[in-house]
Amino acid sequence: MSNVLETKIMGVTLKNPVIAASGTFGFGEEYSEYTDVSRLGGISGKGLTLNGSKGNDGIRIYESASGLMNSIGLENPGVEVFVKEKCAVMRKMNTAIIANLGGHSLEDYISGVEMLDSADIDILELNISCPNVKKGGMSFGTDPKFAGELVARLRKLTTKPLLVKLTPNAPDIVAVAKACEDNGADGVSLINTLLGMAIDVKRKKAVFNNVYAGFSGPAVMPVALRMVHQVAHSVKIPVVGMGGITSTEDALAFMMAGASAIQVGTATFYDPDAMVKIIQGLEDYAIENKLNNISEIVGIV
Amino acid sequence: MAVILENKKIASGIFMMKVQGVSDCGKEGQFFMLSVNSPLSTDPLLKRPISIYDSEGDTVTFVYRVVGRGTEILANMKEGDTLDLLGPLGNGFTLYDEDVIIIGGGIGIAPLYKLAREHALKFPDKKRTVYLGFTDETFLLGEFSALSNTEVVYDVGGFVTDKVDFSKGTLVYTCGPEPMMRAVHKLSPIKTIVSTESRMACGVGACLGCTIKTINGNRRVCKDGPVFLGDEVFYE
Repeated sequence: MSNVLETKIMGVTLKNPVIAASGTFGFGEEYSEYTDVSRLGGISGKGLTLNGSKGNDGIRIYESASGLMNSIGLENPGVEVFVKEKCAVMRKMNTAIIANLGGHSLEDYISGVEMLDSADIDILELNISCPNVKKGGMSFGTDPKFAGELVARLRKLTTKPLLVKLTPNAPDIVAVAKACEDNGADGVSLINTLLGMAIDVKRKKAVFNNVYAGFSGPAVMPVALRMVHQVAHSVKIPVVGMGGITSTEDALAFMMAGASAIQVGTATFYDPDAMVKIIQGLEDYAIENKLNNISEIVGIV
Repeated sequence: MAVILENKKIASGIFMMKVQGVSDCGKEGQFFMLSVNSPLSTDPLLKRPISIYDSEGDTVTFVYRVVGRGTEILANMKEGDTLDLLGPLGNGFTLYDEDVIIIGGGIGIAPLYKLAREHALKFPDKKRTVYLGFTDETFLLGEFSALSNTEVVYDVGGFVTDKVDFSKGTLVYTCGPEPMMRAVHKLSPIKTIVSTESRMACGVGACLGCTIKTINGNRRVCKDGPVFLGDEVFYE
């Protein structure tokens, strides 16, 4: 296999720049039956919280035009189960392991990072952007000052590459990205879901118990692409882009906008092979365009 | 990719679609995720979970109710059209060598046909008593009645649960609206197996969109289910 897609970011070498987005791929096991997970550049596992969570009640999934709203609420088995059980399973998949950690408080993040620092993972993705949990979650990601302080504190606790996942719901995502960079983040990933809403007009009620929910899928791509472009042109650390990517063309657009790697989420739900197809497409593109490496197109727009 | 052999209306808002070219046609109680968009289109975005009505070899038959955009599109598909599907998915029913009571309501009747048919094939000497509840119009009565050693009782517009004689068997299978299954479980003095339903995005256990609460904690309808013990689901 050619090295044309090999991607070096944050000191880690990925087979290719295509990563399964957190919350859409479990810990890789569920999809291993339906797609070749070893082809992937990496898997960002289901978002973890220190002690795990049962997630939200009520309707969790709702479709919109070319989009999807979710209110899962970070249902997860907790950091300890991940470290003790899931890591070893993921390692056998022959792809980079990204642990995604969220938290309700500074203390939660500290304990989580301490536990993950000694775990067999390649990258630690800090989720400061989940819109579906009431406490913490997104609030750390909307204010550059809070985000910077959190990253500074956690940076001291780990030598793992720290990728901070940003929310598009911040008033100034560029300022948050810069604060992360200034305080020691190795990279930023964006965007997490936008905040959306659905109403059941027959029942005259919001569809989701939490009223608002995370909105993703092809419908959000133009917004995501714009934000990746803005952030990538404002920071020096690598940007991992995501938000509605379904095709090779979408992936190329994100890379041209400045993303060194990309994540695919919602598309996998309707086509488990979406990422494998994108990887093949990127390789074909690189060869056709006589690139030595796909990274040559990063940020050209 | 499967090819649609037949897609016909069998009652008001109820359709039967037979497709060919499925590598694994699945077992009773399992389901497939059916694509309802045209290639390269992302609207509607998600595949739709539809249970197996019957299947054999490389053909699968679905009986579904038109409830929204996705099923509306399915209903408009024509013989010869291709259909992208994922599956079979889910755990499915386990067949037992016992006299069984099968209780279906509305479109929940669909997955019970293959259950009854396979049970009749595997345990021809056992008795099957099938109770079917309809809102206004009956469907599939002839199909169930044609099965050997199978008695069919039905109700239109009322509560089929009122007609069930639980002494007819030693095991209950049920699928239908949640209140009906809850009532069945409450009335049933014997082991009751339920097939549940939920909104799904992935169908393979990854997104956690279809999670339901059970006595054993959260369970995914798509992967851990859709078939559960009644005691597990209706514990409150």
